[in-house]
Amino acid sequence: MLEYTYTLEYMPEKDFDRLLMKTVRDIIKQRKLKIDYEGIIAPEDIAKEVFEAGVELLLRVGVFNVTTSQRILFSEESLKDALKSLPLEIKIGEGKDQRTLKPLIYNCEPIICEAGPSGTLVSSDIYFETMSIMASGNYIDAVGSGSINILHGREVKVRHSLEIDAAIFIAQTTRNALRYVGKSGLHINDVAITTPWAKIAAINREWGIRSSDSVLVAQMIELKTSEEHLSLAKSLNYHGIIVGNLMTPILGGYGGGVIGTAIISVAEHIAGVLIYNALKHYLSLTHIYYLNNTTKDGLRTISLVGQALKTRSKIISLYDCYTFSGGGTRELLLEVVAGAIVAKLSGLHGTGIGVAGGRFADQATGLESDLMCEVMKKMKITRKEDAEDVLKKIIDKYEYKILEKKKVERGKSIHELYDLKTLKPKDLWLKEVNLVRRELEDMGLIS
Amino acid sequence: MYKSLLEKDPDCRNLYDSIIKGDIDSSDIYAKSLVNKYEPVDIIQECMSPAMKTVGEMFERLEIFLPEVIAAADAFEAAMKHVGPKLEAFRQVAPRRGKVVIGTIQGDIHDLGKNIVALMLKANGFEVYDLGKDVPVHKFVEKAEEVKADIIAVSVLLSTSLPFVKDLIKLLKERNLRDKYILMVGGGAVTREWATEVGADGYGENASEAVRAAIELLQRKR
Repeated sequence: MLEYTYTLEYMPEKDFDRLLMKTVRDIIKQRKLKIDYEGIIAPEDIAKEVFEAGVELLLRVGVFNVTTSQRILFSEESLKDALKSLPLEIKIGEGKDQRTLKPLIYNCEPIICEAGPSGTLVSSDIYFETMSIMASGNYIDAVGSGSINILHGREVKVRHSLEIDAAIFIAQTTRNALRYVGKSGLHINDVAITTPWAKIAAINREWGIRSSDSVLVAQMIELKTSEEHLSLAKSLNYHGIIVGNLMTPILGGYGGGVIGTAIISVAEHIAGVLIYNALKHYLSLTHIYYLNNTTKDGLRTISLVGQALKTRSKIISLYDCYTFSGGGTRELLLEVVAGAIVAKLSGLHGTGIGVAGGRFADQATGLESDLMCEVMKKMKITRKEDAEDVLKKIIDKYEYKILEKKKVERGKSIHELYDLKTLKPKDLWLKEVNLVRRELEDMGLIS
Repeated sequence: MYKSLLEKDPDCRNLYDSIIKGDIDSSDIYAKSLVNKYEPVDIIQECMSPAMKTVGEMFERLEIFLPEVIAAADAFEAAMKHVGPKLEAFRQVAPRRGKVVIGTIQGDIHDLGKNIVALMLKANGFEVYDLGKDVPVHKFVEKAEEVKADIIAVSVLLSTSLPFVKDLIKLLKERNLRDKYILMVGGGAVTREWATEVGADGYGENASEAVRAAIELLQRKR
């Protein structure tokens, strides 16, 4: 981490944002980049160009440190060294629950799929049940945590000491849930706490985060870090814990549309390697209005980034599915399926689900995560052309509602969708999922 | 029949177009020409604000994205360099929407949404005091008192920063200031229900709604 050659340059943060916007535009113009294809899955030629554009962006603007108000600039040589040094595989989890995570370069490597509330709110009184349900999925390889806002009757506030208790609670409860379902060695991808230093408290071989787990270190929007985040990454590196580089590039934000946002996102992946020594990367694209990443343009961006990384690097990236629709809805399942198809065909592993963009608590259940993992692992369609037809059919079933409604309706909570004593889904929810699964079988997507 | 400046003067139309296109140079030229012919308030109300309103609508329809909105705001500011100084003289008589103290609350460093709302409020005639991000609760109150604000607007993306909004309300009540200010909330972590539950006066799911709410709440209060 920051072991590569870099220089520092003072700059007001606003100027950095402007520079970023201007540089993205320049690069798009100079390289004559545009979306001139119809479908969702990005062709390799444009993906390669977007990767090079991402490299150029990072070299030209660097990464902004909000604590010191300096931008960190890397040499081209450092950047290339960092990409070269990436391993061809990493082990996650332990014992029988261990998995091997590889970059999906040749399309024959196993897909790794994580299930969890993906940083969205989970009530602490049902945290154990929620994580047990997530871990029980048939197709999952790891779990991701949700965040909590109330612990022991007190509100968890950012940068307060209660965050340390919350970090420990999340790690302990998740590990207990894994033991309860007989998957004690399963990889935990994070403790979803806002303040970086609070995450350190969750490191404990016996009950918490181990070296076979990961912890997410965020980049701020866009291409920004802080001393707190750099310190967290450094601590994790010393503890031998895998760093997950969490990015939430905004579609419609500083990068503008699909191409600009994809370029920024590629730059953020590489920045994660350079500043955090990250081995896992979380592509958590967020739409500026809908907070999801499953509209046509959202999926196009996801595909472009995935294809760019796949064709030009060994970076291991996971698609973090964030939906518009609320819990327990048919549309939620369709969004998840569309995301799974795009991720699989674009060289991305899977993680999530952030139901309804994380607006409401307790909306994540296990079934939608497991469906995403099932589709990613059992998908029969391998030709992009065939996938486009299926994708169109699926997206047409939900996207118009997003574009028309714009306002998210609260879906059902896990209380309504699961029996939290038996940890089994209620008939209504199971029926809905099976209905969608049958539709996917009829489309020839899965068997 | 009354004809607006936009209809009768090509310079006004050109300024309007320049702002929408984010063309700073043209905006500068046409604003310079217009200040010699009209009252600054009329230039703002009939040429400049309509342009930003159009930009806001285009952004809402996703026809343009943030870089275009910021470019438009820059062009707006370029025009204000000429119109602004003359406007000072008219301050006493010019209709002004109101003063807004805005910021992203304590612990939260996400300011993109807040920046868009601040831009739109400004373009709609509000006097905006942007406190930035990670703003301690007491700073909102101190600034509002200092500038005699009408509205305190708070943005929150992190759910673990939401409790600070409650702290802000508590502080306003403790100082007997709660009724003095219109309190608006918005941002990814805030839902309409939550805004109502904590006792905020207004909520904006997006920038356009925030501006609409600010105008309505202010009219109601007055």
